[in-house]
Amino acid sequence: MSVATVPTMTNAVQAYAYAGPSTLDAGHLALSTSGGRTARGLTSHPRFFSGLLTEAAPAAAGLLAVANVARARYDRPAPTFSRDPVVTCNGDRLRFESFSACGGVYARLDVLERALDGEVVDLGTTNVDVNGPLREALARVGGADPLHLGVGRDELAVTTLDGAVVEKKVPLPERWLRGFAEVQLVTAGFDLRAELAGLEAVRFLRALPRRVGSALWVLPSGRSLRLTANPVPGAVCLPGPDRLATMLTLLRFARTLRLYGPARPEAAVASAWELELPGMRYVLTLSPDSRRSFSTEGAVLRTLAADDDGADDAGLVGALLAFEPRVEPDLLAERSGLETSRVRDALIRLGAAGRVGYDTAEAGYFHRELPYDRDRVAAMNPRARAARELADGGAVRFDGPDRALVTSGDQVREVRGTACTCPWWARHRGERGPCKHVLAVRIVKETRT
Amino acid sequence: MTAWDDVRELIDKCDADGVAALVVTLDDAARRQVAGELPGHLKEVRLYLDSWRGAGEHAEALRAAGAGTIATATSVASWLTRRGLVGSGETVDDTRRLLGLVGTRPRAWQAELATRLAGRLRGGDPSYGLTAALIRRTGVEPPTDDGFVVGWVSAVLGGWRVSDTLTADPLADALLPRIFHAQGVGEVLQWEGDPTDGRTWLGGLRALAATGRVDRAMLLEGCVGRFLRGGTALQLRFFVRLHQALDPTPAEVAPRVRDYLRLLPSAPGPVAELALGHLRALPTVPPGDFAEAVDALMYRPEKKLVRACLSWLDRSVRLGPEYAGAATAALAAAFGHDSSDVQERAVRLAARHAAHLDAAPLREAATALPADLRALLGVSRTPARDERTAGEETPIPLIAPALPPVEFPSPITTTAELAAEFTRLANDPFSELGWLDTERLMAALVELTHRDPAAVRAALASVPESELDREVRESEDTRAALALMAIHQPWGWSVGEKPLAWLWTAMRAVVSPQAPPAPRFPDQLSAPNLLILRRMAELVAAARAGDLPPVLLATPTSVSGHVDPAELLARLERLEAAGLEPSDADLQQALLRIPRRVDAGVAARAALLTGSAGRLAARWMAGDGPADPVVTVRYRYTDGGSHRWFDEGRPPDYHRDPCASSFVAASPAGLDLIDLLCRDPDAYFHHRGGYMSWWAGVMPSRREVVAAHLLPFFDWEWRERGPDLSILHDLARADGPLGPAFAAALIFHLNDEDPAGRTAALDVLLALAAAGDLPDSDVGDQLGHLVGNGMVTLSRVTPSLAEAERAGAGAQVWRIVAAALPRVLPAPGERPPSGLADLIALGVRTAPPGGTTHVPGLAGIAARGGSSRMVREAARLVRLLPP
Repeated sequence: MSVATVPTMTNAVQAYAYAGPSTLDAGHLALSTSGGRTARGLTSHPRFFSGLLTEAAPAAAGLLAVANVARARYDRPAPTFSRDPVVTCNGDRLRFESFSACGGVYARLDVLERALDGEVVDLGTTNVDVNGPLREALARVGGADPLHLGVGRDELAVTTLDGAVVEKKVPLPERWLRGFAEVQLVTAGFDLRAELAGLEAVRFLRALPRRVGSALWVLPSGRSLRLTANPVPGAVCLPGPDRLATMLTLLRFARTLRLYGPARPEAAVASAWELELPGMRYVLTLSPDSRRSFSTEGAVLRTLAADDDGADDAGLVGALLAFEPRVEPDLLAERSGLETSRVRDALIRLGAAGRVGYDTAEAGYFHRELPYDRDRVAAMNPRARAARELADGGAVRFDGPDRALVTSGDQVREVRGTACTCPWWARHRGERGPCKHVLAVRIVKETRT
Repeated sequence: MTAWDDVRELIDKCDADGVAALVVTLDDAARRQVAGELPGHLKEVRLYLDSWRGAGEHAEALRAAGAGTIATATSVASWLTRRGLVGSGETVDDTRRLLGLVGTRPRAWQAELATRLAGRLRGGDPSYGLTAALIRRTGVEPPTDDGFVVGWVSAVLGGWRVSDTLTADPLADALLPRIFHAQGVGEVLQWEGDPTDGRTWLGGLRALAATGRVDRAMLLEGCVGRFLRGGTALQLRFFVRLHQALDPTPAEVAPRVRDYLRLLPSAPGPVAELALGHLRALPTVPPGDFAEAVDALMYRPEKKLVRACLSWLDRSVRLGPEYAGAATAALAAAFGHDSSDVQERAVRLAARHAAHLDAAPLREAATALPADLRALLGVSRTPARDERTAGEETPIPLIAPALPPVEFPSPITTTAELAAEFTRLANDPFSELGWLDTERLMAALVELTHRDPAAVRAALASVPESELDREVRESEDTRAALALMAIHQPWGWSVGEKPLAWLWTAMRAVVSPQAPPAPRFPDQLSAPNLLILRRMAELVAAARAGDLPPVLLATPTSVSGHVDPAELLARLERLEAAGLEPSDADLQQALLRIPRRVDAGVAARAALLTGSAGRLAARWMAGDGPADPVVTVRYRYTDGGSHRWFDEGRPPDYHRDPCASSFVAASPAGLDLIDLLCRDPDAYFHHRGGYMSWWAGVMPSRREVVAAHLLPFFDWEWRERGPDLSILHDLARADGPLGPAFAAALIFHLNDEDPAGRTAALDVLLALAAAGDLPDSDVGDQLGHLVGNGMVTLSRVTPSLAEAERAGAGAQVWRIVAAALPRVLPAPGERPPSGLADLIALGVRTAPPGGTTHVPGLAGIAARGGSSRMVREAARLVRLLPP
């Protein structure tokens, strides 16, 4: 059994195939794995870890939080398909990732070395099964209950569970996949902006308003943080505070709250919220608006300017990755013989393909392979594709220092700065990133210089 | 004619029965053909209906055609549940027809269809009826897919007694345990609330559990399992009520103590309340579990749960040393709680049980407490400088939040630029041109035309005909027609109310003086708009007369609207050199835009001007202009047909339209437009607002007067309209003292229903506080009036004030609280406004040590006695104030 993505008319369908359901019985949490890539190659039921979770209660609550993000949709109430979390074993840590159905919230639980006491069997990435009885059992974990964790069943268990295969099929829209990959690029530009310890963090999160009409901003004030309605340098955007709901269930374990964001926010932007728990970190990354999916953020469009060698570099660097918890560009540069700057560009490309994730706490990439069809993830943004066609087709003509005419079909669009005269721009006014005409102009400009 | 043509014709007639009768007569080949055509035809139908929902009335015929012709059961199931066939909000009633159509197929095929359908149903699916009938007919094992279970739950509700329906239903035994697992059941049953109503699930299950027909243990187990799986309060509401209706005994709760315990930290409020209730009802809870429970509860955001936890502590502390240990930790956490109510309860508990508790951690945690509570605890250590908040010995610096920046547009310097700007407007006539951009265009039009009229005329001639030209022309045609019929329309909207229309006419008049008719000058304008439009009408008149001045006096030089005095002087000198006097409205606007502080050198040079306008401007620059007007605010309401004032007696219980009126008192300046601005704004012509975002730029040195003109436009009752918050930003950037009108406008926004709006208003408050411009006593005074009049919700405003205190504006917040309190303290027998205790508590936090402010009426409240929090907080505040 292996992962199969079956293309239908517009969506792919993800078929998870597990050797059996994940279970939690008598203090043994056995997470079933579906097919994925490991350090030893493609495996149908990889086995990563077996041992003790030294911080059982926060780990169980954190896992539930990750699973709940996968089930949530924050843009509007509607029934959702829950996609199973992605687990990556980076050797010294386990990372559980999920992405909300609306595409606007990315959650990750990093269970660090000091919370794990056991044997790492293999490195790699796969999906883990989360089912109703498991949720119930995870919610029952508390107090000082010890918890044994197995990610992937040992072969013996698989053979005894002859035929007990759990299959789940959920649609995997392209935009969801793209967003999952793209969020890594968005956060790569973030820095630590604010930090709150213990009780102050609890108070601040607890007092946040739930439903608000527009984006708010957070900035340090006295011993705590304060909300403001205007972006100021150093402030972190809080778009849709209700999307932090899964974090509120972890408050009793909270050690520190850290906020990450870009340096000079002008309008609503994405932000990352990290809650440090005993031996682990829970991170939520929010898109700039509850109604906006990460897939439309266009961060991947940055890689466009890179020359065509970029794809080769990415291939080379990608081949050198070995599920490191922290990818060192210098080391990769040495091994690949590329300059460090080219390695960095290659990492951005790999991020867009879902092959590396970004860890704001360590300000570095980590290797993981999204367990979905790689070609689909890597498939370029349709807007970018159209822009490249325009640029290559010589449709861009400059008419002044800040003015260009783009011939698209039988229409001529006028591009000034980031604005365009096309109907798409008129409708979104930059809310959804640049249109294909603006992008085409940018491509032509960047290839000239 | 093929078979498909016949079927298609019937589908297009929405004749489902006809389709059903026809398809059964078709042979295999014809069926294949029809089945192949259906998906394409569905698309066509939806295109024809232009519907994003579904196929509307064609749906039944399409379903019948599919059920009768598609070969495999899987494909039939896909077709019937296909998205876009029966849209949301659309219904079909065709179970019997479809059952007849598939009835000719083999039994195994039908069983397969039933299973496939069950797997594809979504909540409220119209194919549920068919699925259920097929299951009954084929005897296939009942499926337990979520969609089918949700359909079953809805189908059981039908006006009959649910208990009877369930007893008779062969599916009940298999499906009942599933209602706790299937997603969507909670949503369907969220409205059920009455366990005695037999027509509800709640009543039905209770009755069946009472008779033993349904296993109570299974239901309780199901509810608790559902709680543990999580969900929103709404999704879990039905199960909370079911659990309550079953009313488990302590013996039933005991084996599940762990489960209830684990619900405390993260379940939605109602679930956690229920769990806590059952735990508290138990005779004993093991000490380890007790410790876990109180620890979890201290992190809950709901004050209600925290208070319930404290009273549980109160009862359990003396059970043993382990319990006391847990209580110590929880009380220490409660000392740091945001709510002074929780703090105080915790302190009283700690004092009461001091003998059993560990003093050291409590003493350490007590640093977070105010001094009077610390004293209650008997741990008032070495007195800090500021006794009350030991943790805040270093005052927090007040940092002004940045208000959204406004860029001053660069002036237009070439005719080509000018023509390009007007062309852009012509192409986008509905764009709202801001006042700064309008000023920029006016200034350029005047100056460039003066410099090189021929070039400007040539450049502007290329501006294309636009919607604006049509609007101006047609409005004048209509007016002419109405005038012919001797109809005068004082109330009608006229294009003359739109500044852009005047600017446009002026531009056309520069090209060809007599071409465009001037818009009609509107009646019934509010004073700021009158000044704006009069100045623009002057421009049109001058352009039509071919007599544009070399420069406009009042063009602002900063985003606040001020004109740099040196620049104004230069403009005046230029006019005098040309032997010209400025036009009337332009001069008055320029006077209003003189900054409050003028460089003495500039003022001295201005004194050398000789023209009458120059001499007037010189007087204003020297500070000899009229004194600042005095603004007062009163509130009124409508009782029956008449307007009454709140300050003239208690309003009747039913009154409408509460609103604010402002009054402006000033000595006349002898200038008509300025004197109109410095008079009471007309409070009764709400609809004459418009362009309010321009107003701060009209009087940038007397911003309180602008606020006075804005005040009548706030809708305090429904909050459907009101000057935008951005206008308060403009006022914050402007100059001049602020007073009651601005204070009321600020409170309007602090009372916003949207927390984001309140946050934005708080930014304005803090920015003004940091600049030393906040009229804090006025804010308090107006807050008192507005809360007293029921126009503002105190509990919505207080958190923002508390936030301001945390941001370092404690002194200002104290003055606000001190001014508001006398107006909101209840008279004996009167209900206090909700949230009053929090406002008094905020006073306790902010009152300066050794302060001198007297708060009338506070001592009376404190002396009332009793245990209400309002009285306790009042007593604490009284102790901090001078006797």
